[in-house]
Amino acid sequence: MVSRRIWRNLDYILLITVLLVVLFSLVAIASATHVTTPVDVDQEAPLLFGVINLNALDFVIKQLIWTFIGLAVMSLIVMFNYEDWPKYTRTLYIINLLMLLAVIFIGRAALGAQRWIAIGPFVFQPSEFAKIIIIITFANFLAHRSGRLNTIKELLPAFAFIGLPVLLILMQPDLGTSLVFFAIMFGMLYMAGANPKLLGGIIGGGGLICFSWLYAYFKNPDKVWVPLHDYQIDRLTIFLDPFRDPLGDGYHIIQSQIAIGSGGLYGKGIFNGSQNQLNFLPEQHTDFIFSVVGEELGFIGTVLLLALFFIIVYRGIVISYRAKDTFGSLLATGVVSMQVFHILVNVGMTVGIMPVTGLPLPFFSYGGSSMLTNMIAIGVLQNVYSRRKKLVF
Amino acid sequence: MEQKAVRKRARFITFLVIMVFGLLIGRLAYLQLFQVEKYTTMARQNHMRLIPIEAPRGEILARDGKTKIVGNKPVYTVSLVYLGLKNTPQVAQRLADILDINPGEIIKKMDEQKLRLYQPVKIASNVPLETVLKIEQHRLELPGVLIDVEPVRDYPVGAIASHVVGYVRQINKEELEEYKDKGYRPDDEIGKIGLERYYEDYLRGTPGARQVEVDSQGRPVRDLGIKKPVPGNNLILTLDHRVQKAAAQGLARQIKYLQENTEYKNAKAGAVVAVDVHSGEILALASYPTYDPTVFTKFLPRETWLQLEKNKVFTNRALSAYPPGSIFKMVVGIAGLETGIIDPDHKMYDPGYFMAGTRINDWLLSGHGYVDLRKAIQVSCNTYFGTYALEIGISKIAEYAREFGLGSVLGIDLYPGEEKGVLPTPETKYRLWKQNLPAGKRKQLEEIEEKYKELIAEAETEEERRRLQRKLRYERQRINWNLLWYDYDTGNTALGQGDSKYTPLQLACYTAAIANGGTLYKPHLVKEIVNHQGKTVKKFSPEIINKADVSPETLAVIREGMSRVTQPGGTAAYQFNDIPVPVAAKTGTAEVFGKDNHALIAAFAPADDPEIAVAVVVEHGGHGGSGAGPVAHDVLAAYFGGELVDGKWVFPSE
Repeated sequence: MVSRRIWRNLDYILLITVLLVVLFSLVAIASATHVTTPVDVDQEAPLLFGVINLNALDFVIKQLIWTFIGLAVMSLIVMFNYEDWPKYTRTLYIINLLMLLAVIFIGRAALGAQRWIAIGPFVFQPSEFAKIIIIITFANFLAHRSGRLNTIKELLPAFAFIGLPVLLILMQPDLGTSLVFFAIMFGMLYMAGANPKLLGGIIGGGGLICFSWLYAYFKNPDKVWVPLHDYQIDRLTIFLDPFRDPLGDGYHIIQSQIAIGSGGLYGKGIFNGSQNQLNFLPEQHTDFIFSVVGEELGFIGTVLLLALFFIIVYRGIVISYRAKDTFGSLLATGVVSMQVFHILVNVGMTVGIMPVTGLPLPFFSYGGSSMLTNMIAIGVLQNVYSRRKKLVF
Repeated sequence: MEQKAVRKRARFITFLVIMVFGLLIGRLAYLQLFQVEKYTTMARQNHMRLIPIEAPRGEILARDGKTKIVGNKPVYTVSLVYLGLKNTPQVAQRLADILDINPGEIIKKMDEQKLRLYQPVKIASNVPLETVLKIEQHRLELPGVLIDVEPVRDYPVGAIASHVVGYVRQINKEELEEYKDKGYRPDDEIGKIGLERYYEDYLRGTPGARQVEVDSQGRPVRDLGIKKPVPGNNLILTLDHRVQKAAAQGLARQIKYLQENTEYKNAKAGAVVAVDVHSGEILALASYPTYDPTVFTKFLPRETWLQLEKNKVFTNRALSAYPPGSIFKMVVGIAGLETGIIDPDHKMYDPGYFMAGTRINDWLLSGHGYVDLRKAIQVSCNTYFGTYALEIGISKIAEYAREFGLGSVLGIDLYPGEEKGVLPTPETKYRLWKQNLPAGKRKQLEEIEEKYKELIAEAETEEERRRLQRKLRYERQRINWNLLWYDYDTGNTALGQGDSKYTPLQLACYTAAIANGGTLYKPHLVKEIVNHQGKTVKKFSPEIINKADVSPETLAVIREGMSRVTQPGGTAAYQFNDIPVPVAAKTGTAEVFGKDNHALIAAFAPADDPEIAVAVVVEHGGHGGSGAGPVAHDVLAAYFGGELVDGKWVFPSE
């Protein structure tokens, strides 16, 4: 049977590392949602082992359920040989565009942006799944153009391929996720053999243009037009000086850094962080869950978590160069680019070196869509790895 | 795709990934290893609050050590903690609506405490229960609003001693600067005037504090420790609350009576002081117009404050100087007897006036006929005292006046202090008028003085010196007539007119010294300071300022004269008839240029064995006996056991 060989050839280091991160995250979520003061003062909240608020375990249980769903979907993905996928890429690409359009027209608004679609009792974020779809379709797109990516002219179709869905996501508006697509695009382009100097020039030039545009805007806010609202600009740049608005836009960044900084080397102990437990930390089980680790488990905890992430990413890279074909290699590269970018932006945000964009930490932030997407991404990696070429000595 | 190229690219990607992780770990190391202390402090400031617990101020008790003149009562206060929330303005608005105050005021108070964000800012005190309940109902919309119970000043026996006890209010910026080292905080109360101010250091307690852990909404989560507040020390006063009440109410009643039932419509202010003649302990001290210190325990509208200021209710008139009128005459009698110029039994004929450079009329134009010293005091004969004053001379008169503390600060324990008053002498008159000269003339005068000082010093013969002094007198007179002292000045001073000005407190102490045989005690209001456990912290025993160099016989004669003032024929006849002990007194009617006379009286009792001395002034109250006498009567009546029943004094029958 084909499938038995596949199961034997899975990357178990990757799988176990992912499971460790998930386990770690469940503890962090338990702590982040653990409420010191019971809502109803008269009624003591039921405590497990004397510390864990059972009422608050709701989140942990939901996350656990999502993990299992994620593992199931991952297994499903592994079973369908990735080499057959190119057949469906055109359909996938169109479905993706339709989903993103649907968000704009029938999506649910939250926090000033439309990112959610409700299907029955479920709400999900199409832009999450869009990342995977784009990785698959773009991998196929590039596989056919490998070696023909040396001039701007040759790169333009690739930009258009990515640019269309990005435009739709920007309309939600979701700047963070759009940037993920650029990361995926550049990572995969590089791996596909695009001229590195050209790519570097484009990234550097683009950065320079953005920077000077913003600079001009700050010098002359009334005259220089930017495609963003003032409040968006403020949110994007507040991390440079959070004390400009310590109670408003800067609040998250300041409180997060206080949490992490006050954790020190060993941390204050799980369930013991004052920033977390007393709710000074905002969004502490989703976007800012890394701050909980920083506060309660200290430098040792954060480095341990980053080390686990590094193993995941590193296995991704290994898979990318041990893939049987270019398509597989590009798939792995897309996944790696996506996850590294998420880690960089999310952790960077909590330590104050990246703008607040609301990108979740893979396998760690509470939330079903993100868990599912990342599990699918791991499924893609495993699929490629299990069908790798045999080393011939 | 060529395998080698893929590997190369994968290596570069690995390198980039390592850079990313290195960057994050570097930043984490910076925050968690090198900046731990800074962030630990910030975290602690986030969740630890030191909530101060006010210490009750010491209480102020009457001389019996039981009756509370000033106590404390618990009231609700509303404070706001700065939570670092965006919606602070909305919370301020809601809170302002409930408290019915201006939201701008709350924001202003919060701003003033920007540097100590974690400390609650007191928004309102003495908040009624209904308001507190309303706040509790809207708890969820009012994050950061705290309700505390705090002590405020309470006046169980009413506002009978406002000018003695004074009041407390929130410390102002200047005071805060001054008292910073003593640990005062912007919300603290501080004594502003009176005993509350004078004994601030004793009355103020040591605040305690509660350390609590709070969540991001400022809600206390856990108590971490408590430091109990230590209440302030209690003052036991020398005031007898019954006498004090009689003094305050008698003064108010008499002024109202004068306004409503007599021609003295301008009688609007006055003061009364009663002292224990053997110790200088103040038994009663009242000033009118007065105020109710309870206005300071709640929100004080600006208009009310301005009205109080405008009416000058905070001036303590017992410590303000007034011309004493005839009350001064005893000094002349004492000086005359001590110098041997007056023979107490010698009768002088009073034609109704006497000559002192110019003619000075007696208040009784027909004259008193033949009067000796005792009768002169009894009928307050101007001719008798004016005539003898010229013979005694101003320097001797001033000397004896000083022996009795007139024109000098006695050092009562009150804030703000006493006026010094004016004991007129040639020197004071000269100084006063020199000050009033225009600058040019003053310079001219100084040059002349300088010139004559040298000349007189170089004068060879006594005759020459005297001639120069006469010439100097003449030169001074040419610059301003009033620079010189004339006989009528001596006459005026002897009758307590002219520039003479003494405080009711001085008059009471002077009377007490006559009564007790010549000992001038330092007047004081606090007998003892005890801590909250009842242990004595400080005791104030009688302090002698001066033992007057006057023979007992002299004072006995004066006292006899004063005893006759309340007898038939005296200026205060019949006024003290219902007092169970004989009363000695002296009335004073001080002329005020262009206005009604000030009414004054000084009295002591019992006349044969004095215990209490009292002095009263009623501004523009007319004649001393009828204008001020009733107030002195009420004080003595209360002291000797009387009860005021339906406006009439009733004494327990023996």
